[in-house]
Amino acid sequence: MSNNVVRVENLVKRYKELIAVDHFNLEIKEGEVFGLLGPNGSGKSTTLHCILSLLKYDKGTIEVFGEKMTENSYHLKKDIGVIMQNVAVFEELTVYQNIDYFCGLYITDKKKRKQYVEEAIQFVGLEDYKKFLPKKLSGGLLRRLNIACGIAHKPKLLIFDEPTVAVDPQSRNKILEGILELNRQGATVIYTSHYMEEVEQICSRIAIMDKGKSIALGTKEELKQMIKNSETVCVEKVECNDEVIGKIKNLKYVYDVVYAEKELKVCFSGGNHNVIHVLDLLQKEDVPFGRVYTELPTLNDVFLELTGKELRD
Amino acid sequence: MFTHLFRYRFLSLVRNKEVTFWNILFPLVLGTMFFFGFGRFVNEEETIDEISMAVVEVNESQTAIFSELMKQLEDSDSLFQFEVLAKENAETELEEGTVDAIIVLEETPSLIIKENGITSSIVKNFLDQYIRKQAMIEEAVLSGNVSNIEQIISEISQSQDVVNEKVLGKGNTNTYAQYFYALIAMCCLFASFQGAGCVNDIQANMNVLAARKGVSPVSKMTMVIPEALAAVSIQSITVTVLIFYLKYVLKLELGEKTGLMILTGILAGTFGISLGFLIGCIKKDFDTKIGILTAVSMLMCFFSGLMIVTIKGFLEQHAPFINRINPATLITECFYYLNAYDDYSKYITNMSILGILTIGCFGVSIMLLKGARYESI
Repeated sequence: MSNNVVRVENLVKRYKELIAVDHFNLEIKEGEVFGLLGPNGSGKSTTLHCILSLLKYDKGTIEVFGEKMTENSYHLKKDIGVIMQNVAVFEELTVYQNIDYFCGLYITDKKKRKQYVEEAIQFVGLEDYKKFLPKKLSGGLLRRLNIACGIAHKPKLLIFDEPTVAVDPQSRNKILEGILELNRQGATVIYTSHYMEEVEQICSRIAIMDKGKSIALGTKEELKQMIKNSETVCVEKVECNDEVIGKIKNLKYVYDVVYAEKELKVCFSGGNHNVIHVLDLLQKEDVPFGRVYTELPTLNDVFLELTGKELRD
Repeated sequence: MFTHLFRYRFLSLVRNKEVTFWNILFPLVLGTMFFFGFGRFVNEEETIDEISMAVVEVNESQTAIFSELMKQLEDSDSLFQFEVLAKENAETELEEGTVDAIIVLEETPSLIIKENGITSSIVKNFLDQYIRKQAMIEEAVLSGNVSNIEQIISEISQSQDVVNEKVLGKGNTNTYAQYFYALIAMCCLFASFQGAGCVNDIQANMNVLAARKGVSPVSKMTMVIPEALAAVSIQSITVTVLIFYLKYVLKLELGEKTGLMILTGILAGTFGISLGFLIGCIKKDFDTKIGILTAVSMLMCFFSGLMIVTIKGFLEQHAPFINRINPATLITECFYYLNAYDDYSKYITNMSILGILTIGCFGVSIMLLKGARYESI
């Protein structure tokens, strides 16, 4: 029996002329923290809305917990928790009442609900704000309330749609730690973001989306192996002539050298100890240099190489 | 689940400042302003010494029978004074206020009035009595039995006195009271904003809160019924407060049937919510829906006489069907009938039409909501 929590096959969603999701395929296994990474407008949220049956889609199959997901699949929805991109709470209800309201849509047993609500409050650290109205909370606290409303009923599948937008670094770290904790407690997580650092930090598998398509899928290591670059050696305050640059280009595994404003960048597509080879050469040629450091490829490099544009374009 | 949803919707509505202002404070403020503007006239009793009617003769046999009636009534010490005129002249005199009403003696006699009030009620009652007893009068005229004619006419005449006495002795049918009836109607129609809010909050393409509800394991219907009932409860409290405020704080003479007035207000408020439901289902953004609701409510109130009290009479003459289906008119008339008539038939008719309109609005809304799936969020 398959342990796929979510399975999307050949999903197509059009907004009139625009294809928002283009023959998208996805399989998310139980216990994963799965990242959907892509720039704004790449189709991440639309895909999630289709998975949740909030949106009509033109083509494809969506299964959740091994069953076809439809608008009326209430037994499946019972085990899903969603944290929307925008804060979705009642302005007129207090922190406690908001969490209780949303938890009550899933848990009818009052005693159990009370316990779950208290646990959710504790989990997001809002114990001191139980009786506060949302307008009295800071942006970070509001985001935490938003999360508490989505997780209080202890769902098996948690969907976070860019939960850290406009959040300060301290709250962001708390949110990310919380997501990992929920995963440790047994929840499968789908996490969408256009912040590659977050996705790298918490996701075990990642799909990179662009223009509604999945352009790469795998662990972060697998994704990084998909591109030519394995390491970039950067040398600051260096004065190179064309001869030296030519020699650097001839080093093993070097596929590109960029020299501008006394800064040298040497790109390698494999090999070990590359930085030593570069420094050896500079010393031999009697070229003075300043700080030296290496950069490993990021998901942004993966995106850049696969699409020809920056992730945050 | 029902209690859970009802409780929180009720709580959020009570705490919503917009709802509090438009549904509770605004009608109270407007009522107070009306009171200081012309409230003193509401409590003045109207006394009627004489009702002058223009008679337009069209049908010969009707003219013959009615002439006999006019002769008898003018000889007696009746409330009515008749003047036979051409239709154009009669209409001019009605417009100028020289006559109170026009009776057109067609095959079935009809009545033209300028505005609703005690006078028009008495005249209408008189004509209804006449039409009912027309066959008896005709028979008496043909048989030349003068005593029979006198007896029938005496019955009609006496019944007008009774109507007059009853009207004056009961709740207020003063023209100025119409403004307060229209105000209550407006308050009820403002409940449509709450209705639109309820529907808006379960349509995932309208706001994030609705989207969050949309991913929960609760169907739209399960969600919308307690939320609608919470809105109805708030509206019932609101209209009760308004009626009590007008009657017991401002001490306006709005009749003695307070319980039925509140019942009318509750049904009217429920209609308002159902109207909000219907408009809330339109595929437009929420601000547009509120704009449409404001325009529709104000138009209904205008036609019911909130701004110009004579507009209802004007419509009665030129486009009576508008008065029959305009919910604001139906509501104001319900209040009027409660206080003007002992007979509940007209009141029940209007309440029934209002009930049908309410069921219709809710029914169509539910069908639209059930089938709704979203293209975009």
